[in-house]
Formats: sequence, structure tokens, C-alpha cells
Amino acid sequence: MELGGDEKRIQALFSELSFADQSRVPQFGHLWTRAQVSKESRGIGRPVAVLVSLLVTAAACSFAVWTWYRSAETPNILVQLPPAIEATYTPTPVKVEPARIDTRHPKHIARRRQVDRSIATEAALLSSWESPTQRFMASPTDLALGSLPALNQSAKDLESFLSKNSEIMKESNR
Amino acid sequence: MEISELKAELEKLHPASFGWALSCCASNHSDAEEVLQMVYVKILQGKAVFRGESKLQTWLFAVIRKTAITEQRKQLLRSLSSIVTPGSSPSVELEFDRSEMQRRFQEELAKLPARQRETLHLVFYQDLSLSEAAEVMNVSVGSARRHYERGKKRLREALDREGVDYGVGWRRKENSGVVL
Repeated sequence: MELGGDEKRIQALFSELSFADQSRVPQFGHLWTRAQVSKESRGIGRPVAVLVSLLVTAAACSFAVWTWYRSAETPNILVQLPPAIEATYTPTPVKVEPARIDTRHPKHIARRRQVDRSIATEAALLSSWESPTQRFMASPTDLALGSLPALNQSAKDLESFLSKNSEIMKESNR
Repeated sequence: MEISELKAELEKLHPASFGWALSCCASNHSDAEEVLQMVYVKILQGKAVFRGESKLQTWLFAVIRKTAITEQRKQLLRSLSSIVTPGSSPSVELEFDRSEMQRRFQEELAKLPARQRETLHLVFYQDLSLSEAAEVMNVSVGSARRHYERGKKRLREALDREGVDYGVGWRRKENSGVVL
């Protein structure tokens, strides 16, 4: 590589810079050893980090599942509560201190009874519930349609049935 | 290449590698040391593998450059104000007893665009050819030549402006050298 005038001067300045840099070059052995140590520590660090992250994820997942399970279980507990209350609270409180009977216990029982009553009314409402569609679909001919004779029924039965049926039809037409 | 063999080669190139690392880290001594150590870690971990497709020196310099750029990006993310520029740091000035001329030269060198500075360093400091410098910088030879010419011109102009006399005929002589 042939250098011109400018280049020779720049080269001289760079050479001077290089000479200055040489005095502060760290020892190769020192850096190499540090690199080896760093490599080993990083080699150990990565599996540990992976393990810790896995553990944290597993813990978070199990907590989420537990929370969900608990929230799903709560309504059942509420519904099943009244019989349990009946069983536990029907006998008179024997071992409770008098002060407690006066203040806390009656309130507790009253609250439970209120819950009982509300549950009972809700259950009654639910059992008597009828869908609006079912109500609209109901008609007086339901009886006639619902009591069709079987094919192997005798002719007399059929006659009596038809006469009765015609009466019902006339009534419904009116 | 065996690791022991590679280690011996790296040891030979160590001073030049450190010089290049310094250039990539804006003359910050501790950063350059850190970068060079990281490069050695990469080599030991097998993340940087020399496949013999080029000279060991150009491969190593390319790894150093890439590592330095990555580190600078990380530092930039950590704190935008923590970037140390040569000449602006009093510790750099105090650390080394450099002549006024050398100090101004370094200041002007630091003002050059990174590619131009890198090309000049690789050619003049590391004594690489332009094609080798292009390989280290991962650019075409034409591009490297352009950076070289522009860098040289800007450096000369800046030093002229500073009024630094580097010898007889510094301002008058035009570059006629062919580098490749």
C-alpha cells in the first residue's frame, strides 16, 4: 500500500495513538480467565433462571386454578347451608356464655332464618315456573289431541269416543 | 480450529483487538475492556465461531465491532446521557499524557461519522487493506473506499481549520495514494 503525503501524516498520528494505546492494553490472560469464569457463571445462571421462571409460572397457574375452583364452589356452599344450620342450631345453645346469648346468638339465628325463608320462597317460585311459550301453546283441543285412540281399539269404543269428541269440538267452536 | 490454537492466535492479536475495541467504544477504556471480554466469552461459548472463510483478524474485528454496537445500544437504552464521547471526558484527558496535537487529532477523529472513522482506523491503525476493512465493516469495497476518502478529506480539513501544523506541506499536498 503506497501512501501519499496526507496519508503519511495521518498514519503518523494513528501510530502515535497506537503507541499510547499499547500502554493501557489489559493483559490477555486476565481477560481470558475472566471470560472463562463469566462463561461458566452464565452457563449455570441460565438453567437456574429457567427453573425459577418455571416455578413462578407453575405457582401462578396453581393459584389461578385454586381461585377459580373456590369461586365455582361458593354457590353450592350457600345452597347447602340451611340444612346444616338446622342441624347445628336447632338444639339450644348450651355451652355459650349468657352475654353472648343476649347479643350475638339471636342475631345470628335470625339472620339464618331469614336466609332459610328467602331460599324456600325462591325454591317455590322455581318449582311453579312455567315458560311463556308453553302457556301460549295451551288450547282447549289439547285434551282431544292428547287422547287419540289406539288402532286396535274396538269399534264401540271408537264410536263413543267420536261422539264425545264431536261434542267437545262443538263446545270449542262456540 | 482447536481452542488452544485459537487462544494463541487471539493472544497475538490482543493488542490490535484492544485498539479496535477502543475505537469502537469511543476511546472508553473500561467499555473496550468489557467488549473484548464479551467477545472472548462469545468465542468460548461457541456463539462466535471462526470458520476460516476470512482472515482471523478480520473475523475477530467484525465480532468486536458487532459486540460494541450491541453494547452501545444497551447503554443507550439504559441511559441516553451516559454515552461517553472522547475528548469530552476529563478522565480520558487526564489519564494519558498526550500532546496537544494528538488530543486535537483525536477530537477531530471523534467528530467524524462512525463509518469514516472506522475505515480510517482499520486502514491506518490496523494496517488493513480497504477490502479487509470492508469485510470487517460488512460493507462493499466501493462503499469502504468512499468512507475512506471522505473521512480523510474531512479530517484534513478539520485539522487545517484547527490550525495544527503537522509538518511541511500538510495543507498543500493532495492525496495521490492508492489503497487496495
